[in-house]
Amino acid sequence: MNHTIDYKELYNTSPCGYFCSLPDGTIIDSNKRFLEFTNYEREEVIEKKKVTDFLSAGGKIYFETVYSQILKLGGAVEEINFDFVKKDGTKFPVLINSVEIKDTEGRHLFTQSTVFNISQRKEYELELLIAKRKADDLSDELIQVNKELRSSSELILQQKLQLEEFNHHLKNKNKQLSNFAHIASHNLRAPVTNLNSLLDFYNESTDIEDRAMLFAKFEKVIGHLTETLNELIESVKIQENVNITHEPVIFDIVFDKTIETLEGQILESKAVVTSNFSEATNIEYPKIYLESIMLNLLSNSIRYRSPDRIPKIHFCTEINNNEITLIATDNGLGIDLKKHGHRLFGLSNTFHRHPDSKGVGLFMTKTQIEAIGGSIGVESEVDKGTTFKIILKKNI
Amino acid sequence: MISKPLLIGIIDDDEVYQFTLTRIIKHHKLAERVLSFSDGEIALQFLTDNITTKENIPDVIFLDSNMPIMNGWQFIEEYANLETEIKKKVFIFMVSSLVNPAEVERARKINQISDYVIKPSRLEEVKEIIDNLEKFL
Amino acid sequence: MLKKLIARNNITIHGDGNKSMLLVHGYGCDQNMWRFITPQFKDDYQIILIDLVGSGKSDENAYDYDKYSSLEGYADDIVEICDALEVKDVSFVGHSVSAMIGVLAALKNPAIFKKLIMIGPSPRYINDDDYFGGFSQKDIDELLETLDSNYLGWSSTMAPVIMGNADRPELAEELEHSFCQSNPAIAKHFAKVTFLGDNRSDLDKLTIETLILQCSSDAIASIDVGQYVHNHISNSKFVVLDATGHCPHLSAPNQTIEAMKRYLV
Repeated sequence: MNHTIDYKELYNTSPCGYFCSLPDGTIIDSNKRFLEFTNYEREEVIEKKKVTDFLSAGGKIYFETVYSQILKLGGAVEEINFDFVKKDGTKFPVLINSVEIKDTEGRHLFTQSTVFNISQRKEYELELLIAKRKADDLSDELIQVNKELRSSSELILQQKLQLEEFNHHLKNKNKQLSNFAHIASHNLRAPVTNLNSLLDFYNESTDIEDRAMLFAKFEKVIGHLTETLNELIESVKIQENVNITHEPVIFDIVFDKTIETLEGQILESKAVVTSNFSEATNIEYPKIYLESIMLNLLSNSIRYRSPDRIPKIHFCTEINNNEITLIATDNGLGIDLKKHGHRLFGLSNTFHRHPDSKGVGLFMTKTQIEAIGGSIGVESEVDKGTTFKIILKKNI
Repeated sequence: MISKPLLIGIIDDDEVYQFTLTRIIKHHKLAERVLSFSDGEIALQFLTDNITTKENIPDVIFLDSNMPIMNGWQFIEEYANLETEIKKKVFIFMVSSLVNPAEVERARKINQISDYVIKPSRLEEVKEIIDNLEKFL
Repeated sequence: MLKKLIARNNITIHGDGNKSMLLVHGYGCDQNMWRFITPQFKDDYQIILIDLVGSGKSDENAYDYDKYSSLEGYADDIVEICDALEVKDVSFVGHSVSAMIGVLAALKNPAIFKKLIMIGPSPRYINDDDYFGGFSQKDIDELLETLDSNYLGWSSTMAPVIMGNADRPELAEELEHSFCQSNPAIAKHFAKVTFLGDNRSDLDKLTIETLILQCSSDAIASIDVGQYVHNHISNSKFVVLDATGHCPHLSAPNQTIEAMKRYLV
């Protein structure tokens, strides 16, 4: 068989539209298929219409801002989707490919374009687009939900931390309260019982001398009771006074003041008192508490010195895990911690048969330290000495 | 049968309590003699020193649970080691200003403790204990 | 700082003149669009080209939807870039939306700029009472639909390249040939900001010498709009080029260059 190809026929009946336009967009030729697509007569289009005349206003913007620029820069543009407007005003979707035809000097002579009618594909694409939009919305929603979940889980975590802190605070408070109740009942009940007994004796007694002796005992008990009450009231004040002012305090200055206060006792005991606060020179802390803490520790060390050796007492600071620690070491009598450790910081507890053992100092010291959020620990060996380590507070 | 007259020991750091209890015991002739010690260590030393002298060992001891130097519980531990050498029954009453349920339980488990009571401070309370010693045999 | 800006705006510097010229592309393209213009100014100017954030090879991660929800965000970038490059007496050339971005930048810091050249400017695309911008809200919706339909396949093939995943070199090569691609979400946002904005009131405040270049037949910015811009900028010159379309720098580069040179002398 011998086929003669009629290119003119092929051009006109190919299943896609062809048109040729000038650089300004004027269409100078088109095939029949293109005219069929758009429902125009040849003479209505050729040299009368521009490419943009087949576009909607929105399409024109895309044509000018995207299509034209790509074509000019690259010499070709492919697979751009527009809606072409037919003569009757209805639209149909097309895919357009264009190439610039240039002369030998590179001048742009005209543009060749191919137009495919993609009505059916477009419907499918629209479905895809809708599905994609839905998926995007869903994904946005998921991202949003995820964000919300994350922020609420952060919130929960934060609340959990707050609750834990609060719980810790409550536990501390509870412990303090139960300690306080225990101390109060122990230390108040005994003197009250004693007073009652003494009162019975006093009422029954007729002997003046006996009564005078009983009265002296009254005075003694009342004196103790007053002292105990004052200490308890003081400790309540410290526990309540959480908002006490913190101020910059220099360890050296407070320590010098402490030595001055106890100068008589230091001289009398021939104690060698040294210090080194170079690791942490200062702290934000209630000044009166630090003064009281140092005074109690130093006077304790002097009071419980060993008679067998020259008392050596050393104060220093350390920073461990961002916490400022105050350390007081002596070579005194020491305390049997196995026996007394659990009651070391209780009210009116003494561990030595000593003329002026009173035992309130450490109780008050502990109360003050804990009120600021610190803690106190002790290491001791009988007849070797004692070291108190006080974590004053976080160094942040 | 509990031999009378009794020797009563008071181990307590509260001097005024020592005084009031002694006075009640003596006034009402609940015992022939009263021995007072201001902490467990002193009392333990005394018992060790007098371990062979039966008449110096108290028949009844009021032992304060909460004392400096050596408290009631620590005393009881040490006393348990001495017990076999002591040739007489000693009724030890662990006393406290407060009744602490945990301590009641702790006391119940210790053979050497006859009972755990609130510090007797009135005649009736002391008499109640002295008159019913057979109960704890 | 400068290094960060260079990456953010894909700043490139060409030529070895002692005067400065900053050219900024409009909607839909990138600095490639100046390729026919710049060779003619290379000898007299140090030419600075940038890609607006979200366009071309700018750092897409720098696209902040809040910052760029108005043209002010872009104008801030222009001022920032000029400050960082320490350039003064800059001749600013802005196409389309960037003509307005240039106006805003000049209002923020007039000291930087010597002259402004606006190519196809429009202060507002939507008609409003007796103002004729050329478009209605419906037209812009159509544009956004066209954008959608031409980006359908973008996510799966172009996205990895444009997002900077260069582990598929065959796509990177393809990208070299496909000018003016950008992330569809950003392109859509930028289209809304560009075509729905209204900067008419800013024109009256401008005092810098300004040239308005306008094609005789432009579907995006009509002669009326060009005239409006001219009427509202006190120190302006209005030149209509015998050219069709919105991009005379591409369709009629010689006319454009000639008009620019005449003005810059």
